[in-house]
Amino acid sequence: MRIILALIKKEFRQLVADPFFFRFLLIAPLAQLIVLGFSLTLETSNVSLAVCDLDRSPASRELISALENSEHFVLTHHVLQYQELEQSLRRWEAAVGIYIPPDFSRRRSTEGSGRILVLLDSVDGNKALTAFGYLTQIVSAESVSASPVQLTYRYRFNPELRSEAFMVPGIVVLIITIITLLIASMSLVREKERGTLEQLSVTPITKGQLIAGKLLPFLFYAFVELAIILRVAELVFRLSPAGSILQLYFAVLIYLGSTLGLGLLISSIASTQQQALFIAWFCMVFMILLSGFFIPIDNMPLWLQRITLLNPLRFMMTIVREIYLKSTPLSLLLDQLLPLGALGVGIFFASVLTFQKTVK
Amino acid sequence: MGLKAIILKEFKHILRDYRTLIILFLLPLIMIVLFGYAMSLELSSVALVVDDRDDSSVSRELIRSFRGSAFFSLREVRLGNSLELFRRREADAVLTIPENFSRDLFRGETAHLDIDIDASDASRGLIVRQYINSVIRTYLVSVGNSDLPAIELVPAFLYNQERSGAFFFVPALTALIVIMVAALLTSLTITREKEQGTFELLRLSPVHSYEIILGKVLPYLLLALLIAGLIVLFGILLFQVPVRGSITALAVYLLIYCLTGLSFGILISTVAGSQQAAMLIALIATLLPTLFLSGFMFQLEAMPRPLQIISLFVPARYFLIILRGLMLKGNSVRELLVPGTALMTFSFIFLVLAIRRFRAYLES
Repeated sequence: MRIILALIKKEFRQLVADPFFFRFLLIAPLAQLIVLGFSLTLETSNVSLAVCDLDRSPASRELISALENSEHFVLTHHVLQYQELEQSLRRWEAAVGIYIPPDFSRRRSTEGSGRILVLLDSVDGNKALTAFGYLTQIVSAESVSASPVQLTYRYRFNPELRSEAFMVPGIVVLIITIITLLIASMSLVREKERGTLEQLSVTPITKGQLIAGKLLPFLFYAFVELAIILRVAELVFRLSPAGSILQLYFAVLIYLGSTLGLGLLISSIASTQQQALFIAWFCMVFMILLSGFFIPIDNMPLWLQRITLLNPLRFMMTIVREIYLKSTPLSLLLDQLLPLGALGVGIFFASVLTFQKTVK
Repeated sequence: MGLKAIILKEFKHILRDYRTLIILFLLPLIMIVLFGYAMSLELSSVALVVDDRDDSSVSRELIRSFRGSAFFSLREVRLGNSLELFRRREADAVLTIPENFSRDLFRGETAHLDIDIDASDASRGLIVRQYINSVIRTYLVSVGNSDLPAIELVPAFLYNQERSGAFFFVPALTALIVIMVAALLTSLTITREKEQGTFELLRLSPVHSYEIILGKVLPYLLLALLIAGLIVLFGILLFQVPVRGSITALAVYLLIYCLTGLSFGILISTVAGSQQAAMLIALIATLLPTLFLSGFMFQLEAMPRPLQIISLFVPARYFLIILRGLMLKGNSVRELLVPGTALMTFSFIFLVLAIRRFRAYLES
């Protein structure tokens, strides 16, 4: 125990002694949280709109002003010809073009329904579809007479439909992942590069003690970081966990088994810091993109969905969002928690075994 | 003369470390394959739970029209608690048809339908709402309980008719991978020489500072261009992404973009004190802005103004317009004049800054 304490002390001193690394670990996460929290919206708003109104009737003008008043669209161009409409889309000046043909209001009164052509820049297919959905809503509000059926929608857990509510909890675990993976994968390699690992291995310290002495400070550090991030999320985004904080911490503790284990594994395999960083980088990108953080896993092809089962972040992502937004108790999250625990144990043991081979 | 020697020396460096070279070629290819398939934003089917308390021919007909839609997977429950269903992740939405739904409808009174949506993911919640809305509207029109809408919108999805995710993401991934690889490559070159002490030798040799910088950039330019070309080729072959504009223009812009990344890396390497610092700076300064502030997948126009302004300084933002323009929209070089000029300005500024800082360092 005394030995472990001594090792922990040493590790803390090292962390504080490298001013660049220490500051980086402290400031980068907070900057990330704030910038990402504001930028990570999959919302579609301020879509630039070009209009070509050849009808010029009261009906068409009314429609255009309804579009102008919508929060989702910004009317940027009034053009006089269909060709100009196409051109403004091609030149990235507008994302949606509305073409109201000359016979719009005439057909509307004679045939009961007037047609409008909507040109959509579908380079981003999703955005095009959402924008078209908004247009349909606006137009149907304009045109449908009192409907016999009234639909009442209730948005549960997030009545204001804030996209940050979904993203910020995700960012919290993302930051924890990046930080713990980075420090764990760098720490051992540095000792290898400098030759201090050899010195440690001739002391009477056992490998178990060495690993505990390495990882416990990181564990502590991760929880301090987590507490800070949660507090900042509350201050900046007015978001606090709806569910039990204690259960959240417990889930993170299990999750850290995976990330710290993976970090240790990387630093056992890599021989230089550069290699460690490259591998850690790849693992990070892999984990983040296949976690459901911004690409829902259900959308992926089946073989890829199976691969995501190897990704601990995938389970943690679901857990943190469930607890944060829906106050789901852990008892309903066992289908996520158990695989997470299994992965954690597996990765951790693999890393300990590899580590023991490295340090002869 | 000095330039040629430095270029030769860098080439030897690159070829000697074949392990890193393999990583450099393999990682981007794995990434484009994996993420080209992963990056689909199409909505999977909506898990809809129906609580039919009316249990009439009308309500069953309504349920049938949901079953007929490919967008929904349907389940019926009696008196379901929507919150509980959402917490178990068994439903995206719960539709409750109240007891007197059909009665109200026949009497010509306003009938009600209650829909609970799990809105924890707000954007998905909105789309779910749209899907449900359109099924119910179609149903009402088909049974003659609603008028045809007075305005019919006819959509034309341009440039990407099938709204394929790969068309959107292959250019984006190219932009991300190229700038990361390029910046990481060169960010280490000078710091490594500093750390290993070989820099002092360079300082004593009779070469100009611009020769050193150019001599370090050019070999990596070739390497980065090779990797970039490979990624684009993979995207075209694997995901059938078209190139509707000029291929020559594509190659030229790719070259300029590589140069931007490399000169940014060189700039970092003149600033950073250690290899570790250089790598971390290169990683953070390229990965995050390119992912989040370039239009990679998050729409810039939906962001708050300060972030929009920051995004003006992200090179990938311009490159994405160029790449998507050339591949999907078939833009001409003239139509891409503004983003093209912006990219060239970036490389020029980075390079000049790097040379100046480098010269100051040499003379110190």
